[in-house]
Formats: sequence, structure tokens, C-alpha cells
Amino acid sequence: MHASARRPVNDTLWLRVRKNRTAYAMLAPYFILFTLFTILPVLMAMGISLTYFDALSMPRFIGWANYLKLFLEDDLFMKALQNTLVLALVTGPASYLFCLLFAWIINEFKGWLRAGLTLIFYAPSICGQAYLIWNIILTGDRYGYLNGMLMRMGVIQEAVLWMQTEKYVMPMLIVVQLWLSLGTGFLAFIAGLQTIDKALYEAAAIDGVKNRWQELWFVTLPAMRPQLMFGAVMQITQSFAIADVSLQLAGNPSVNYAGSTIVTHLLDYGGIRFEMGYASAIATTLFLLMIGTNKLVQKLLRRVGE
Amino acid sequence: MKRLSGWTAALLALLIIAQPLAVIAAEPLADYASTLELYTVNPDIPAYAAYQAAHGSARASTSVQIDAAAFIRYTEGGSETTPDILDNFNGMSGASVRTGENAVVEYTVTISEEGWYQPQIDYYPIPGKSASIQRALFIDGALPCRELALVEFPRIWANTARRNTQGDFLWEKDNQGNDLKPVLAEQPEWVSSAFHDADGYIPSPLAVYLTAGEHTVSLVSIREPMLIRRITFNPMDASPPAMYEQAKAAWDQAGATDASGVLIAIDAESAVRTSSQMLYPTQELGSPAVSPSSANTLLNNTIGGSSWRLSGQWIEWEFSAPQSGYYHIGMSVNQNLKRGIYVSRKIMIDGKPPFAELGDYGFTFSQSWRQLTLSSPDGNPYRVYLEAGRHTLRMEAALGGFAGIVGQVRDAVYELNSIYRNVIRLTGVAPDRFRDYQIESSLPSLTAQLTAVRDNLANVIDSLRQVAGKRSDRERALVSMRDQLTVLISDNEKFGQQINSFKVNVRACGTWLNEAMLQPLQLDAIQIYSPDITIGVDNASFLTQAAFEVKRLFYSFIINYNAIGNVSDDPRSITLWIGSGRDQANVIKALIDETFTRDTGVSVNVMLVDMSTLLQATLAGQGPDAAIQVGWDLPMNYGLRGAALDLSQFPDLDNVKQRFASSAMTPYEFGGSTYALPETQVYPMMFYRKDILAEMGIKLPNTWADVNVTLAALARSQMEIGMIPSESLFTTLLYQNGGQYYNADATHSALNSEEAIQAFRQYTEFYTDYKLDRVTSAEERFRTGECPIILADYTVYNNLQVSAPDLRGLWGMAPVPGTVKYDGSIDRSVGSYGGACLIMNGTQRPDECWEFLKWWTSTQAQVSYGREMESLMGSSARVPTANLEAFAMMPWPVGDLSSLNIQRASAKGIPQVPGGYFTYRNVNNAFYAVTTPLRDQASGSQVQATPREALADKVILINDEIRYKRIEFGLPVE
Repeated sequence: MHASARRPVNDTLWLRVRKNRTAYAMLAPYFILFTLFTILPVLMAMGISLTYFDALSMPRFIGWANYLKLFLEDDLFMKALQNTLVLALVTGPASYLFCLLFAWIINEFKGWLRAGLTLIFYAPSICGQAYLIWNIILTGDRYGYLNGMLMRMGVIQEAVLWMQTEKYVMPMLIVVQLWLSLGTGFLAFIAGLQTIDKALYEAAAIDGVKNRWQELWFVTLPAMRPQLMFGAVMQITQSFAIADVSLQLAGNPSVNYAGSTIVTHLLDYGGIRFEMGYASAIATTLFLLMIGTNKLVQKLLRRVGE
Repeated sequence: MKRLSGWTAALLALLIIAQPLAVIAAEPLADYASTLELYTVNPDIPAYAAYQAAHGSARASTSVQIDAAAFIRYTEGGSETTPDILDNFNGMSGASVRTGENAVVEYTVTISEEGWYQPQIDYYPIPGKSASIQRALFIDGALPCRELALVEFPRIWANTARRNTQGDFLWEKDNQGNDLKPVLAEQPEWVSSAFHDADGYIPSPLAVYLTAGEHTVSLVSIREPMLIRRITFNPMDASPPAMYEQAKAAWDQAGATDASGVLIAIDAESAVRTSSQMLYPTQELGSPAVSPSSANTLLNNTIGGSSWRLSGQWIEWEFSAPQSGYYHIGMSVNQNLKRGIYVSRKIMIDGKPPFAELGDYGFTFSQSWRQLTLSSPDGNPYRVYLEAGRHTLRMEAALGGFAGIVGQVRDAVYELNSIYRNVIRLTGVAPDRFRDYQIESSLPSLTAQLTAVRDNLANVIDSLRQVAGKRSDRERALVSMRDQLTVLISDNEKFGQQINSFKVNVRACGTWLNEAMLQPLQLDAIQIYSPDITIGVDNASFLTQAAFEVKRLFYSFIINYNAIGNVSDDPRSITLWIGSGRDQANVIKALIDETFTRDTGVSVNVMLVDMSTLLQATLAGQGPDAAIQVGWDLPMNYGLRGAALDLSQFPDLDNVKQRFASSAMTPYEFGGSTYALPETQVYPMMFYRKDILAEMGIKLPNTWADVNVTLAALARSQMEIGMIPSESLFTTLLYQNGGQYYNADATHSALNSEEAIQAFRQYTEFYTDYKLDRVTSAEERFRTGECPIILADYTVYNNLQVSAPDLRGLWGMAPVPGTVKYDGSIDRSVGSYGGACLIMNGTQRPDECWEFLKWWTSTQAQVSYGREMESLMGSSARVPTANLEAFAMMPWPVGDLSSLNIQRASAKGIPQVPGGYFTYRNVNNAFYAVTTPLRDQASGSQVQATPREALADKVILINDEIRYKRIEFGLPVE
């Protein structure tokens, strides 16, 4: 060991890897899997988006044609983009704030009560397809719960086909998505709240923090910035990737594409129309959109506590 | 009198309805056919109980015999002809008559003594379509009671596996070490059988009351041919069967003593005869308690289970007793499906129960396998006297003590549904809870009806508690129905608030009924042993069970459960993907090994795969050589992209195509290529409730113009026709209006034609003008009677047959309404769709695959597959095969088969073209644009699109997509 330490430090990458080989070895399994199943497919999708590819025969290079069609000709993509942005802008920040709020409130409780409440709020997102119960609520005949309730109250006279009537599709999807959205972010916040050093609060009190709001803004939130970041990233990804809810509740394709999002549009092209190249172009666009939004949100979050 | 004339009018009306159906049943048969068509709604034909009550209790004392050959008239398919007469057939001396599947044979019989007679028939189940034989018995041209309208006579089945010298079966194995399911073959023999109620509600044989003098007796075929030797009218058995105490006393008197030192063990799976193809050895792999048992292979080790569940199904074993004397009968059984009630079996030695208790022996619920000895209710094992020599032991599923209960619940459910219809006629299905409907004064008899049903149910609940012992969760449905009825009796007006929960409760009673009728029992072994022998206790202790589970877990890492049966490395073998379930895959694999591989030498590796992965697998080069049971939109899409093989390269394709209706081929043909063969073909039919239509005096609509009249008539009683918006409904209207989906070259959509717009308008008007329900299942509403007429795929027939015992005989099936053409003819076109089988383009062995496809779509293979599926899963699994010959050989009743054939003749396929997926999607979008309110961008008010505009808008999109796709494939666009 001594001998190697005395050798002149030749700071090549390989040497640095050798030096930290234990760390790299522990990193390796995840890194390999991540490369194979995430980075590689993303790169492939970017490549394929420049081709014509019907999933069964060889891809053919066609340059920017897919993107030209996507942005200039495809009205449905614009509608899907609009829907996705509406869903992301409404449900993303709203549910982010809800997560934070509920986490903060629940954190005030102690012991079993806290654990129980956490479970209750988190449950809808653990049970994978829990939103399917909305199918019963939103059923379009008089046996649907919502119809039944509204008819009983005299608000509507006839059953409404909630998920087949264009103007109701998006509002309903937003409601369901909000209901679902207390997800991983919420858990991360609760964990974050619990790791904050109690001493910080005492110090803050001495420094003149007057109320709980100030405590929240100047101590709690800055202390859990990593968790906030994680929550934000998860929330954005989720909001942009909303598809299952729309597929299951509004159908694929939904009536007059009222509930189509970027991902359902992608599935339509990839799965039904056999246009993988075009679907990849959509996926790439979605990817860039997510990265851009993430950057933006990170900028915003840096201002927390300032 | 008034009521009666109302009935007569209703009946007349129905007779008129039956006219279009008369095409089906040829003229001279009309008497019998129309009686059978309408017996359930004819008040002159009593149920058996009423029939018994209406006549005295006079019993005849001598029997009267009718010789089969002494018929006075024999008709087949409606025309008089001479039947085949077989002399001394198969050991039966004298002349026997072969009655066809669509025959009527009439006899005269002179009765000297008035009274009750039990008819009995000596028959031989000659080969037909492998279904049980069904006959109706008429006396003097009329049905004496409803139960005689459908009497079943089972065929006899035996398995064909080889036996070793000890007489045990040697099961064949696949190369993974799993036992193959043995083939059951018919093993007909002469049977002498009484007439039994086919549903099992009446445990004793049916009897008829005959006055002195000459009578005409007619046996009317409903299904399957049957060879008969004689019909005997026996005097009804006066004395009840002996109870155990009496029988035992008689044996004791005759000097019977215990046998000693004898243990005869019978493996239940080596039954010698069964009444049904469904009853073959089963493979239990969940318990180490059965013998033989294995954690890693599937062994034929038990029999019965959920396939042995219908009343009348029996299994028979043979054994020989070495000495005369008393024996105990022990069994290793599993009854883990019926909690709270017991499962009943009629246990017969040499053809009849030795004493009354074995005529209805109950097996109670238990979580796992257990060993028991047939015992009296207080726990004393029965001693059964057996003479030395060969005996048969037969166990027959019977409703036993439940028969009466189940029958009463069936009547109650029927009555409750009719009450429901009467009430909604007044209140509608969504009543206003604050409104006073004056139900009591509008329906004066309602309270009495409700009280009658409530009292009936209360009785049922009491007797259920007696029969099943303790109170069980089983009775919950009945109890909550009874309690609700009590509330409704006290105040009829409560219907206004409770109509929905009333319906839910009625439905729950219907489900209860379905459940209660099923009597599943699984058997592992039977022991006949002398009382001095002790049978070892079962070996499924907690530890053995745990060790067994661990072994199974371990093997689950090694065994590939996706591969079914023999797995071959032979380079000539082909890989086949199956897209449905494991049961189907097992049956198909067995069929392949038994016939295809044996005849051609080509082995087939069958994989059970989710078909949605076919695309990815093909892309990765891991795809199969051929795939069956794929969706109908897939072949063309794969074909145009070079992934599915064009079958037109095979010279005998045209011959093979003759097997199917040309409509079935339509979706798979494009541009002169054929990318798949049809496997199944489904199209809509019209189902109707005979009872409700007769009650309301409504004619079955023959054309769409009639449909509008019918809708108006039904609407007066808050009913409607069940039609959910669907591609098949739109297609039906499109074709009947003379429209097409695409122009001749498939370069443009033809939906902007005047005919198509007319069809689309008609389609949307049902939901805008008539406000038909667009969501609630039509089948469900058909059962409650809210929709006495529905349009649905013909496969619904099988669901109704199985899941609606309360409606048995009350509904019928007819071709869909048609459109009157200028020349006066009626166009009944419907759209058809189905499943397909195809060869992947990447295959190295196209010829073998083609041979396989030809074999799989052949009549022989389809019939065997259909029968196997039906025997495995019951008639709800009837295969809607596209092979026309095979379809006709499925066990459809004759009348229904001809309605189906009439409809199929005018079925048309829906062509699949590049971009075709855009068509129905846009029709659907246009449909909702017309039938749901849209927000007008300019004014903010609600507007609805007109059908013409909405469709025309969408046709532009369809045409764009077709053009785009055609360019993609390099096809001409003009």
C-alpha cells in the first residue's frame, strides 16, 4: 500500500476507477441495468425517430420527416400536447402542494396514528389500478354512482355518458389524477420531514423565528430540499406520462380524442398504426419536454428559503 | 273468461310471430314444433306439481308395453317416411327403430285401467353429435306437463386407455412425464330409463295420467338420434323405498353376516363408464393426500370436481366381492366448493340405491381431502349387503334434498321478475322517490303476489336450514329478499325508493339459484371393505403438505409452464402460439398429438402466450411458426408488412376456403393475397322473451320499420330493445341499407354515400329519438325483462342457456330484423367477425405449417376441439367455429341451428384495408358527436351535430389515413 501511495499520481480515469473500485463495484449492477434498459432505449428511440419503421420490417432513414409531420401536420398531437400540458399544469403543482401540505400535517401526529394516516393517503397510488373504481363511479347509465347521485339530487334528469361526452372527459381525468397523485413524492416528504435536526428549530427560535409559517419557509423546506427536488421530478414525470388513467377510463382512442395525452397518442401510433418511427419522435419530444420542465423546476426550487 | 281470451289473443299473436320461424320447422311438424316453441307461455300446459294435483291418485296395477316397430306414423324433418328398423341389434331381440334428430314417431296404446303410469324407454344411444339425447313426450298430441317437453337421455362414455393385467389403466405420458388426458369414447349399450326432469327439480321419475281407452303417444326429437326398442308404461311404484333400518332388518332376517378380511380399493379415476364426456380423470396437483401424487408432474389421479356438477351426471365403477356379507363403503373425497350446503349424490349398487338414505347422500364442505365412510347422520357406518360376485357402483349427481327448494326459488325468481316488470311499467326504472305512484290502486293484486312469494321464500329458508343443518352465508340472498318483501308488502309505495335494491336482490336470488344447482364433488378413491378392517387415515398432515408445497416451489423454477405437453427438438417440429387459455391449450395440444402429429409425423410445440407480444417477438426473431386464436384485424396488418405468410401460394387454398362462408374470409383477403384462415365466426342474432311478448301481445319485429313500432309499444311499459352501440350494429344497418365500408379498390371510404349516411342516421336515431340505453349490458336487462328483445352475438345463446336457469324455455332466438328492399324482399345482412389462424413469414417450415392450418380448420379437428371444450367447460364454451360442416355438428337444437344458418347466409364480412382501423374509430367519434351534447365554441350553448355533417367530417379523416397508408405501402391511391 505504501509503495503505491508514493508513486507519482497519474490521474487517469482508469486509475481513479481502480482507486475507488469498491464504490464502482457497488454502483455497477444498477449502472449496467440503467444503461441497458433506460439510456440505451432512449438513445435508440432518438435514432429510430429519424426513420420510417413499421416494427416488422427494417427501418428506413427519413431524416426530420417525422418531426415535420408531428409539429406541422398532426392536429391530434397538438390536442394531445394541450391536454397533457393542462393535466400537468393543473395536477402537477396542485398535487405537489397537496403532498407537501398533507405530509406536513401528518407529520404533526405521532406513532401509530401517523403510520395509519400515511397508509390511508398513500393507498390509492400503491394499489396499482385503483383508479378502475372510477369506472363504476363514472359509468354512463343510471347505475353509475355519479349519475345515480346527481339524479337523486335532481341536478340532472338523464344519465350522462361522462367518459363519452367530450366536454366532461378532461375535467374528470383531472379529478381522478388528483385523487391518485399522493404518490412517491408524498412519502419522500414525510421521510424528509422526519430527518430534520430538531436543533435547527431551536436555533431558529433563538434567532427570532416568530411563527410556524416562518419555521416552514426558513427551516423545514430548505432542510428538505433534496426531497423536494425528488418529489418535483417524480411529479413532473408522472404528470407528463399520464396515460393509463385516460386509456382505462376514456378508452383508446377516446371519443374524438378528448382525453388523449402525448403518451396515448404515442401508443396509438406505436401499437395500432405500426408507426414506430413516428411514435419514437413523439417519445423523444416528450423526453425533451420533461427534461426542460425539470430544469425549470430545479431553478425554482433553488429559491426556496431565500 | 276475459283473461282467457286475452291469453288466447296473446297466443295467437305469438303464433303469428312464430311464422317467420316456421321456415325453420317444416310444415307437418308445426303442431309439435309450435307447442314446444310456446309451451312455457301456454297456461294450458301445467307444471308437474299442478298436473299431479289436477288428477286423482289412482294408480295403475299392470304395465302396458309399446313395441317400437309398431308405430303408426314416422316423420323426419316434417315429411312422412320409413325409419331404419334394426333387427336384434346388439343383443336386443326384436326390431328396434332409429329415430332421427328431427323426427316424430307416433304410437297408439290401449289403456284398460285409468291411473298414473311411469313411462320407461329402452334405448340405445347410437352415435350422433355426442351430446345427450333430448326428447319430448306427447300424449294425444298434447304435452301432459311442462317437464315432458325436454327429457334427457345420456350417452355412455368410457375411456380408451390400455389396462395392465391387474385392470389398472396405463395412462399415456408426454415426454415431460405428465400423464395425458385419456380419450373418452362412446361405449353405447342398451339402457332402460325412466323419464326424468332434465333440471333435476323433481327427484322421482315423471309419471303420466292415462284414462281408459286408446291414446296416441308421440316421441318428438329435440336433439340427437336415438334407437328405441320399446316404451313401457309401468304402474307407479306405490311403496316408498326401504330405509336403512328396514333394509338392514330384511338382510339380517335372510341371515346376512359381516364379511371379513376384505379390502377392495378402487382408484376413482379408473371408472368404467360415465354419462358424459366431461367426466374423465382429472389431475390434482395441489395435495399430497391423493394417490398417486407428484409435485412436479401432472398425474391422472382423481375424477370429477367442477366437471361433475350437473344433476343427472353419473360415474360408474366395477368391483367384485369375494364373499357375500356386509361391507362398509369408504371414499376419499374433496368437496371444497360448496360451503354451507352439502353436495348430494345418489349412490347406486347394481342400478339402484340399496336403501333410501343412499338415494340422497350428502357430502359436506371441507377445506381439503378427507377419508370418510358412508354413515348414517348419527355417525354409524352403513353396512351394505353384497352377494359374492361382480357389482357396479354408480354415483349420480342429484339435487337430492335441495330439489324442492331449488325449484321453489326458481319459481320465486321468475315471479319476482314479473312483479318488477309490472312495477316499472308504472314507475319507470328510475322512479322519482318523492312522487306518489298510487301503486296499490293501480296494481291491486300486487300485495297478494308479494305475500305469496314472501311466504314461499320463508318456507324455502326454513327447509334450507333443515336440509343444510346450520344457518349459512348461503341463505343471505334469500333472507334479504324476504325481508325486503316484508317491507314492500306493508307499503307498496316503497317500491318508488327501493326499486333498484329490489332488482339487485332478485339478481342475487338468481345467482343463488345458479350456484345451488351445481353439485361438484371430486373423488380420489373408493374402498369396499369388511367391517373388521380399519382404513388408514389420510396422509395430508401439516408437515407433508408443507414439504409438498416447498417441492412445488422448487420445481416451479425448473418447469416451463408455458410449454404445453410434449416438447420436441425434432428439426421438423413447428412452434405454435395459442392466444387463449390454458384449458384450450391443453385440449389443442392433446388433439395435435393424437391426430396431427401421428398422421403427419410433424411435432408441434405449443406455447401459451399473450398475443399482444406477438409483434415484439416477431421483431426480435423469437416469434412462432404459426399462431392460432389471433384477432381478426391482425392478419392483414402483419401481411402487408411482410410478417404473415401469403397463403395464396399454396395451390389447394381454394379448396380449403370451401370450408368457410365467404364472409368469414373477407377480413383476411386483401389485394389478391390471403393472410389467414378463419377459425371462428360470430354474428348477431335477435333474442326475445316469449313470456313477456305474449303477455304484452307484441309481435316479434321482422323489419326495422317494425322495430320502430315495437319500440313505441315497449316504451309504453317502460321497456326497450336492448341494443348497445357497436360496430356490428352499425355494420348491420350499413349493409342492409346497401352501403359499403370502402370503394372497390379500397382507396376511399364509401361512408359518404347516401346509403351510408342513411344507415348512420338510422343508427344514431335509436339513441337520440328513442333514447335507448348505450351502456347497461343488454344481456343483463334481458334477464330481468327490461328488454324483452335484444340484439346480440349468437354466442350469448350459450351464456343464457347456462346462466339463466330461471328462464329456461322462456326465450328464443331469431334472425335480426331486416330492411325491405324495393322489390319487396327483406335484406337481413349482418356484419360478422371472428378469430383467425396464420403462418408467420419468418418460418423455416411453411409447408408443415400449412398442413397444420389445414388440419386445424378441418371439420374433424374443429368438431373434436368443440366437443372437448364443451365437455370441459360446459355448453357455455361452445366453439363458434367458422368451419361450416363442423358448426352444423355442434350440439345445437335443430330449430336454433337452422335460424343460425339462415342468418349466416346473409352475413357479410368487414373488409380489412390499410388504414382501416380508422374507420370504426371515426364512426364512433361521429356517433358521440351526434348523440352527446357538444359545446358550441361561438355561443357557448349546447348543440348537437347532425348525422350527415358529423359523418362527412370524419370521412375526410378516414380518407386521409387510407391515402397515407396506401402511400406507405406503395399502393395506388386513385
